[in-house]
Amino acid sequence: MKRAIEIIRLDFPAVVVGGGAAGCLAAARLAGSGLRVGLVEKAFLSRSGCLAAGVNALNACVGRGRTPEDYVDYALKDAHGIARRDLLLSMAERLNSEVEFLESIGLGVHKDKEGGRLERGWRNVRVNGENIKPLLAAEVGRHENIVRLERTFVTRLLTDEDKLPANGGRILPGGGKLPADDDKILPWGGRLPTEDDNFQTQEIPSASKSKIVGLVAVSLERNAILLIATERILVSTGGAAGIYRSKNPATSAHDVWYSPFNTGAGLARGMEVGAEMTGLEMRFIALRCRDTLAPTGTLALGAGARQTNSLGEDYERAYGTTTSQRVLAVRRQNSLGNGPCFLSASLAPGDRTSLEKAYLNMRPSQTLKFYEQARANKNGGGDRQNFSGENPGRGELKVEIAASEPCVQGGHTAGGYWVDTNRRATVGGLWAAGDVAGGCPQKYVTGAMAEAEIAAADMAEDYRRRTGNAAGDKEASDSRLETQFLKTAAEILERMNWPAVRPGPGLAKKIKTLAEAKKEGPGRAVDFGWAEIEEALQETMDAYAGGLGRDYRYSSAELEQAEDRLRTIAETADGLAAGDFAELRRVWEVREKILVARNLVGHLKARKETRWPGFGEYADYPEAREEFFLHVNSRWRGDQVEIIKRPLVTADKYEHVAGGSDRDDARDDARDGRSKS
Amino acid sequence: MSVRIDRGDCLGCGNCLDVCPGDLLSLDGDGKAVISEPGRCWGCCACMKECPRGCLKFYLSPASGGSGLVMTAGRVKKAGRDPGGGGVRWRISDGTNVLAEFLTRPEDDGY
Ligand SMILES: Cc1cc2nc3c(=O)[nH]c(=O)nc-3n(C[C@H](O)[C@H](O)[C@H](O)COP(=O)(O)OP(=O)(O)OC[C@H]3O[C@@H](n4cnc5c(N)ncnc54)[C@H](O)[C@@H]3O)c2cc1C
Ligand code: SF4
Ligand code: SF4
Repeated sequence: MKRAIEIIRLDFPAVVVGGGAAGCLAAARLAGSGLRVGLVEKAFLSRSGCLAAGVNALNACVGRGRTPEDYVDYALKDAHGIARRDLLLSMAERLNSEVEFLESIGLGVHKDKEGGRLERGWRNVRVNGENIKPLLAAEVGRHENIVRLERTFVTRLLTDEDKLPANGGRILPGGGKLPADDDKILPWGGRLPTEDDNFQTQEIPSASKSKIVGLVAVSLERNAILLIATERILVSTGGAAGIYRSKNPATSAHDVWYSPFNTGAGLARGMEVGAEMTGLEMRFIALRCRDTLAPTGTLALGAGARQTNSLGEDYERAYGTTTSQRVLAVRRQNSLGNGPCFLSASLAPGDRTSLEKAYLNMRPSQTLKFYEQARANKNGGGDRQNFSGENPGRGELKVEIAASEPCVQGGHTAGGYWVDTNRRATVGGLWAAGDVAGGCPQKYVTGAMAEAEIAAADMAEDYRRRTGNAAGDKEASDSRLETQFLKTAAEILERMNWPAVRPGPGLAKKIKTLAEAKKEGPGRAVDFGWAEIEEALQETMDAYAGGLGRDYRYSSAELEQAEDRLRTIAETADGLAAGDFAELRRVWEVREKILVARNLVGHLKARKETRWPGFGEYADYPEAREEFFLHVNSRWRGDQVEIIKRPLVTADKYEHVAGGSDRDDARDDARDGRSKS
Repeated sequence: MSVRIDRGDCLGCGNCLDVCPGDLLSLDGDGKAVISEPGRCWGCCACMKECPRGCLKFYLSPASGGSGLVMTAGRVKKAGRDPGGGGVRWRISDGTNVLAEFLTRPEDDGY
């Protein structure tokens, strides 16, 4: 017989959702300032998230002779201008102290002869970081007031407004303007702007009136639904992989670069409660070793490898040096028929072993690949491809490189939550840090930790300020919260066909009566599984929203097709059932990916230009356009994405604009604002 | 990329279960480790490093150029608080011959 599902009620001053680089550090800092913290982690803290395999460099630091301002300049340039100065600066100022912290908890940082940290370029510190995640987990373990909730995934955030949060305000004419010279976009096959092309940025208040009151999570460890009351949540669940099709979907769906277990949960949960998002359209496409998706930095910076095409030409400089332009270079060479492209270097004696060990510390599959390649060469490929294998001293190194599947994340690129300088999201009581937070690219491990540090300090401060004077409506809000909790539990149990719950039948009955009347969904004669839905999502995104299979190109007509298909897919996914919590986890994952995808398509459509050609090309608007020096933001409302264009934030500090009137007013205002423009 | 598990050698110690970032590993009815969805493995190799018997075998899928070489790993025990212990021993083999062995340690010279 199946074990009854437990319903457990918990209470914390602060909860951290996602125990990766950012989450572990935030939990430790919150605990350090005296708060009891609930740390919700889908897998195991010891090896979860992007850092599972390890790292061999800390990619973000401010090297000798440089300043945080230099880092800000670099990141802004690399993002082709679309990033938040305040976020970059507050992060950059803390990067080096995060490096020091990691060293203090035992990370092996390489030293030069004078005992200084060995830098690789000025933003990069070399480390032996196979154990970086266990070290961070051990730091969490040192705090008794952190309650570790492992094998637990978040299913919903709860706010004091049952439905969508209210937010008010009006659209004022902003900084943007229609292009004076319409011809400007025509020569490359673009088209004239239509009424749809709203170039105005909008002064819509961003701070919503709603506040976090709790969250619901499912624990596989305890076979339980956790109902957690809290007024402070830090979301640090990383970015979203698996929205697009990977290269080997049939048998190796997770042959991807970004962690496939980061499924955009934190983004989706925020979207559900109306949190504002930014920059999703700046997808990240990684330039990686082709078969293993291993990083190339080690080859380029460590071995001094150069990119060459099949003709032996060094083409790299021709396309520029930003991350996006480097990806573009390889794609263009391939489409010109000059591929495959390689990283080529000549390795000094002894370096081959060091290189192989470096990959074992971060992407072990690449080391195995070297041996597979050597074997293939021996079998007839000669020295055409990789290490010649014959000469143990000096090896000619040639590794094929290619662009990865697209993902959404705010660690390399800038897609994620729209936060203020303290990393507060637009919903009260909600913070975001790390790859889930937007506007601040080039974060990497140390930047994610810096953001966690900033958010944790603000959360602790918020706790100190608010305790004591919140007692007023407590009872009323408690009973309201109880109802929200049980309704959310009903949503889960209904999907599982009402299994037995503990404590007892009284509770079960209460939950069942609270279950929302079944929505009139579309009639369906077949029940689909989550894997089929995932395939549909990935196929749609690949074909109609600029996936790998389309060389990252998309058009307006295709994006519309994507929207339509995604709507159907979302509806079908609403009917997904689960036999147990392990299956329910997959159901939740695919549903959160669909929601992120729908918002992403809205963003791709809204940025009517090609800003980062390596990461995607909008066929109707193949060039960057002056008018799009702005942030494309969004909120999910009911069943639609609402786009908000905000002027670029260029100050050192940014606060959310407080809202006034409620949601319907805002809608009307928005309509008026638009029709006036 | 994925792992195959040598059931014959598996002790059922459970070391590998608590490190998979995808929570893909569990013990079956016979107390042996199984991977629930091999096609969902990310290839991070975290599980292999904690196996005392080297029975988790990592390989590249044919689509990624794999021809059947396998990699195994094992953590070197060492007293102290570093969860990395004394490093990791790695071995690449074709089933008959060992092609390479490595010891990666936190204090190594890097690359
Ligand atoms: C393959 C790869 C290699 C990298 N190499 C380097 C490097 O060498 N140097 C460097 O500086 N940076 C590197 N980075 C970048 C760096 O790892 C990330 O920027 C950093 O880990 C981001 O931290 P995070 O906490 O936001 O996300 P993560 O560290 O990924 O943590 C997210 C956490 O959220 C959990 N989670 C997800 N969904 C849920 C849910 N529904 N409920 C609860 N928990 C959930 C995940 O299990 C995970 O633990 C690399 C990234 C990748 C993907
Ligand atoms: S290699 Fe990594 S993802 Fe694959 S089963 Fe082992 S721990 Fe899990
Ligand atoms: S660590 Fe190795 S021996 Fe232990 S359960 Fe896993 S596979 Fe079996």
